[in-house]
Amino acid sequence: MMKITIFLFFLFSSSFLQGCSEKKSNNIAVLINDVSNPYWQTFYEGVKETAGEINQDIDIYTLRHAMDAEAQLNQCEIALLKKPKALIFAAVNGVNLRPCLRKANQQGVLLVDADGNISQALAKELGVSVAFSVASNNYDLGTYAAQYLEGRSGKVLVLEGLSGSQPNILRVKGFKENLSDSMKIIASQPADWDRLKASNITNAILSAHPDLLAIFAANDMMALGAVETLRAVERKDIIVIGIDGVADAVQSIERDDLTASIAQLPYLMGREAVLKTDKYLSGEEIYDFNQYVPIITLDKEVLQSRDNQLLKHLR
Amino acid sequence: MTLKTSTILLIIFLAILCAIFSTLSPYFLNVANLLNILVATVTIGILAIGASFVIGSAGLDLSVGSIMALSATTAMAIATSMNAPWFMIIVVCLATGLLVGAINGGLIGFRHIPAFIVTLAMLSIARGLALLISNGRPTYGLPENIIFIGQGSIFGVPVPVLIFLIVCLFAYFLLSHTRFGWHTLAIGDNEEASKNAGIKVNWHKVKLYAFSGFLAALAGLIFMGRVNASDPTAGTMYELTAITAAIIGGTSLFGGKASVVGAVLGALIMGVLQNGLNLMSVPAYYQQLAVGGVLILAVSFNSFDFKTWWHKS
Repeated sequence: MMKITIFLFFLFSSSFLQGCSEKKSNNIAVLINDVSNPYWQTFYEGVKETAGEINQDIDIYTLRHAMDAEAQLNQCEIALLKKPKALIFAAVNGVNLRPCLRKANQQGVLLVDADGNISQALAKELGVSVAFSVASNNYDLGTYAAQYLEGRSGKVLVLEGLSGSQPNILRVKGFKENLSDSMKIIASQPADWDRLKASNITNAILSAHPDLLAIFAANDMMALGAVETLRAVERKDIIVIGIDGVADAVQSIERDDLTASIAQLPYLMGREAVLKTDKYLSGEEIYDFNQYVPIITLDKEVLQSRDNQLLKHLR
Repeated sequence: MTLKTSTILLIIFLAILCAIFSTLSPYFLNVANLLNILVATVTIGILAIGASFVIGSAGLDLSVGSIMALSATTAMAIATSMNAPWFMIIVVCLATGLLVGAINGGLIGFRHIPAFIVTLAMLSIARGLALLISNGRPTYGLPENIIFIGQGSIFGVPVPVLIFLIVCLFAYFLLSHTRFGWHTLAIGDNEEASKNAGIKVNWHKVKLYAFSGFLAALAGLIFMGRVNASDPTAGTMYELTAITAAIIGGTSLFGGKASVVGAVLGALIMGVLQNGLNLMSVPAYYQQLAVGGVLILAVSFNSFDFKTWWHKS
């Protein structure tokens, strides 16, 4: 038994040896959230493939469980030990990495936010200096949705996300401020990013306003919830617009259920984060804190024509 | 303290693990990294000590991860709504854990519902309450004194590590030198006999699970200080890691046997493994495999009958 145990042990350890002996210097460390989430999986691919392209040594840390704030803090501390030149972080929440980011500042490590969990204001509040942030512009996501309705007139229902959430506030603001005057918002209610809640609200509003023209939801989940209701009451004429461009939403558009989704491009986000950090490290200046990643309006036409360059980043 | 063979084997296992990682990564033996390992082990270590008591009594506490989150969010909610001073946060946090644990113990001891079911239910209830209280979002901005508990250091030793050390010593004393410890193991060994011997088994279970809840709350307090926020999703799945650490440490799943030193070593093995795999940037999915593999290896190594093997060969 002992001999077998020893044998197993070395078998076990040698498999690690092989995987890890290639890496030498680690210029950039990247902290990513839970990769069982497709959004982060796509981001991960963007980071990894781009790093290979530009021949940059990158250490990628991923989480085993979603939202494991403490594990990410531990990973951040470990990443710093290797004295990277830059640290790209997609924080689990706005605050969990604070002690580590402060330490990074002291060591002179370049800090780059990915996905916009730490805004310029929050960074200041936390006493952390972040060079720039690579993320989608949430205000623009709302604006694009409003623009999609341009030239139409009628009633629109707004399904908001969890109140207090920063992306939600900006998305809804972008939508409301850019909506053409011919459109009238008859209700704007929080459905907390939740499919079922969105479905229920849609049902209630629809009975009061059968002449509803469009529904804007601050994420795809809620849009898909609205779609469920519309299918049940056979009102497929109503326009439904979501945000994020998740796989379910794309499929729903292809089935003619969902009208459009304003898509974020996590692959491109990972790619841009690495490219911009690499440029910054080689001396190029980046002036704006907010480095926005392009977004794209997806509807049946766009998906079928396939001539939009950005579509190749959609996974 | 006399060292048992199983403890020595665990130390050897830990040493081998460290040796492997130090050849694989030049950063492993860094003082800063060793401190990282210790700090990262504290929460799991505290929970593992609680687990070794509970499992030693032939019980189980699956709710500790949720209690961590509930105590922290409750304390935070009171602090922000009533502008309470920092020590009130600590008191409320620890009291919440104690209370929830006592409820567990009451249901197990007096209603005779199996511990597995009670604490499984509490896992869900406490998590739900934590999410309700906090609206599902982390609340940040703690008083400096609480942050000190998680991030500060005294003479270069991080405060969480100091707290952990105190808990270890206290728990060691409690298990092997007090009536509380003896009764715990006696109940684990044979509940019927313990009852006949005059041990108030139902009350003991209330105390036992309250102790486990208290330790979970303490872990929650340290967690909260470390990340400067009360996070309703904190500690998800930590109960399983804690139980794993306790089992590696030689606590018997059938009760009657528990070891504080073993639990701490078990937690350290988990901590070293996590740290080493991260240092080598092993992707998360492979880490899952490794953790499971090491659990099996460590237990087979630990339960290995060294004497018989020696005489045979």
